[in-house]
Amino acid sequence: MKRFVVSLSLIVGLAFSITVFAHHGTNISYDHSRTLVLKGTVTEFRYANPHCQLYFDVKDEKGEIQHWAGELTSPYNLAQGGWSRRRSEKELQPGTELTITVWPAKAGTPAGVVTKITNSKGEQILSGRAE
Amino acid sequence: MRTRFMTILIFAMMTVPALSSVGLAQTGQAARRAKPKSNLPFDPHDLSGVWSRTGGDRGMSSRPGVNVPAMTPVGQKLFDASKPGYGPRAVPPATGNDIVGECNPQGVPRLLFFPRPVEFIQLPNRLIQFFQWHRVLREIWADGRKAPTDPDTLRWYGYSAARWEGDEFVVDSFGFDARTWLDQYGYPHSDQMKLQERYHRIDHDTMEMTIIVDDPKMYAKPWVSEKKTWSLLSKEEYSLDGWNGLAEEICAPIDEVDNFDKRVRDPAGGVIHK
Repeated sequence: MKRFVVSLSLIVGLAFSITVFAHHGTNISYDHSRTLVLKGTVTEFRYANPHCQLYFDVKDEKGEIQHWAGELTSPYNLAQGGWSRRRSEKELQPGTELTITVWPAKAGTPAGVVTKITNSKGEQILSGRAE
Repeated sequence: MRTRFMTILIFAMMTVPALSSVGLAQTGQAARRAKPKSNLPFDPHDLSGVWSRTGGDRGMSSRPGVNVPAMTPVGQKLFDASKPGYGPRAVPPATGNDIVGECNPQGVPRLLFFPRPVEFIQLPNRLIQFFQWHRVLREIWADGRKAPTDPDTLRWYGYSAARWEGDEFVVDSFGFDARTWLDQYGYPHSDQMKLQERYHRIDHDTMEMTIIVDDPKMYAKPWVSEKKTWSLLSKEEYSLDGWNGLAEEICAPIDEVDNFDKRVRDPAGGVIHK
């Protein structure tokens, strides 16, 4: 059963990774074997080439705020998936509460490559094209 | 137990493409893969159109380290000093030295390997490659001139001149700025590199490309790339917002260096800016 879990994890990881394969070589900075699901509040979203960025606050178990930085794919890839600038910015306005799944930085800093974003309605948003 | 494990594994393997297609369903990439190859007539000497690299790795070889010629001592020293973000020697870009991370030019052949639309504009006296990625214009002269083998002023994209050899469009280039890498894996070249590209349109929708790097300062013999493939794109596949034309994907330091690098890339690599 352990082998099954490992195999399925790898496969599910592949499925998710289609939306987040980064360019400029940043993938190596992230731990793809760990998935963090964070409840965050948007502080800033940048629809910028070649990397969109999502900044958000997360309250840790001690009740302290951690400022997270998330890497997203390019505007071109997002737009090809239907996520234009206006649509994306509307969904990611400052103050918006989201569930953000990331592969965290290997360095242990509050940074990660974003693999999935779910809004308060439970809808997945900003799914981009494979790089 | 073993049978059950295999059954679940096979089911999962069958499911993955379906999951993947969800993510790709609305994309040009999916449309390109799904559409049948046309049997439309074509002129092998006409390379006009918007193409995208669809086959092969993003490096010279089929994967990093394969079929690399022996390096000279100088070449090996530069290779050892390069710290790319890709391949078996990858380091976090925050601690690497890939100049592209600061929006510097990629040069060729590296830019030719990235899977983004490139418009080939064929004029009577030259071919212009208009790259969406970093919005680069490259002139390849085809008016009978030869590229200067040792020009005084070096260029990020060199000096290029082409000719037809049968149905192959053969581009020779010289005069490159040696600060670029051949590909994303950090393989070096010198300012004495002769670069040859051989393009061959094999049907209406497909073009093949082979790169030959002849650089005795760096490599003991010419390095012949794996054969790369380009696919012709329809305007629906590359256009955004109904605007027929290439998108603008400029790497602007004000976005990349001042924001992404300092606020995301570098912290992710353990480098914190005060």
